[in-house]
Amino acid sequence: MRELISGLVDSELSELEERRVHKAMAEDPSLRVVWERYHVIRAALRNEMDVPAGVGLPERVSAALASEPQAVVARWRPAVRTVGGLAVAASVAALTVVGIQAYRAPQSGAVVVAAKPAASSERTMRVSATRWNTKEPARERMLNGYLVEHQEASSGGVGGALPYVRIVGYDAEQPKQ
Amino acid sequence: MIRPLARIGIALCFWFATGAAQADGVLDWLGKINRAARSLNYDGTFVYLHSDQLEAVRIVHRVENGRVQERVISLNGSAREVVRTDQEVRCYLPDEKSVVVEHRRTDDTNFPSLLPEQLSGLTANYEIELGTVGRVTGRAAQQIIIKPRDEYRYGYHLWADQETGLLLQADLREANGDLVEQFMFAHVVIGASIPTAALQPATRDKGFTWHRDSNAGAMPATDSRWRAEGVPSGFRLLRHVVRQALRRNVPVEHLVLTDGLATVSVFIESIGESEAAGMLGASHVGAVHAFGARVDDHLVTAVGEVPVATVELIAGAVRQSP
Repeated sequence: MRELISGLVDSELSELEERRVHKAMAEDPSLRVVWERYHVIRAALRNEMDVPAGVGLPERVSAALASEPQAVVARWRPAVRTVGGLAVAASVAALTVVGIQAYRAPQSGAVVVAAKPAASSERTMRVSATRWNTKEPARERMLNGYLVEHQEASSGGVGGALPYVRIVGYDAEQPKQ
Repeated sequence: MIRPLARIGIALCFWFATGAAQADGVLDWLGKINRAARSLNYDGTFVYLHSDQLEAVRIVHRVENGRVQERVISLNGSAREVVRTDQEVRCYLPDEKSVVVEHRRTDDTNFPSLLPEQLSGLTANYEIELGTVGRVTGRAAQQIIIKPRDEYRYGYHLWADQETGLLLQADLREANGDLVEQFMFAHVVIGASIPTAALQPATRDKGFTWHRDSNAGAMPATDSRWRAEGVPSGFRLLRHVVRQALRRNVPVEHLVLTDGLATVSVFIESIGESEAAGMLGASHVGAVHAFGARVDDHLVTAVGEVPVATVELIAGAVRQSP
């Protein structure tokens, strides 16, 4: 199960596996603790590259590391870090001018907690990321309603600096299934 | 582009009032951004980048007698459109042949709930500093950097027009600096007068279905036994109401949590076993993540512009008190 949880943290699981882990976590609070700890460990290991030498890992991470199977956490050890974010930023102007719509961002290895990528990406040529990445129409409808209400209720946050952009953008394309 | 910054503006008042103002420069700038959004007319096109998707969006924004009217139009794909006044928000969705209308709540215009302790929460959760001066959208711009202090929230890099304070670019970043979502004006005209026609929806809504939220609106959920306890640090309950779900005739409880900048909504509705399966787990649109969990025959969904870990933990923290 720990392998699966670490896979979940890395967004690597199949839909079936993901459901299994969520179910298990729902039933067993200790697994939820493991899941949270893995996020912390992973984040810490990734972030470590940005921390000046000598600062060291926070104690709780060190302790957590010591108690975890090394195979599980080994994959989060600092690796070559892509500069996906920078590449994206640099590409914006060019792409705007060229007008290319479907732009695949470089796969950033450093995304700490990304949602599971749309499992349907192999099947649909262009899965629009502006849509909720769910394949359940009922859920999509429900989430769209929630999104409108959330944007209204949130009074923004700075994230709401784009208050209705997400709504305008949310259903750009219906995936043809 | 109004209310978030209004919130910062209100925060600033408290900041000054409580004598906590350290970096006057940053505060001046946030105040300036806030005033710009409440007072300026502008008409522009911005690009919005999220995940692997790039979109162009036009925004027309007019302030008349202190009242804001705004029209936002998607320029690629189907012409989705949002028209916002101080009375209501209308979302025109050509794909669904529908118009969704939500009435604005009066308390939104005078966001009352940002208390000094929430402000201290803000600085406890974020580090705010003045960045460099640069050039954005062909204009001189000041950068403001808001860094999260942990992994449970995003950071913000803002660029404000040096002359008017209008927000020209905003980047959402993960705690480690990775880009989540980015918006930037490609072109903007600031301060020109805006004809009323430019604020009218272009969508021809003949044959569209109109969905209106019930006028009764949201009621405070005073009797509710639902609680969110043990949520990630810094998040506090701002509001707890009961309302009809938008476009669906079912009652939904709506809890709003905030850490001072980021906001997470929790929606709770009754659900049967058979419906639940497809509603659980994580999904996202742009930087907004959602996580559904089943608790006591209810569907609990947390939605917010925060990392998925945060919505998952918050959804998991919702319980009925005995």
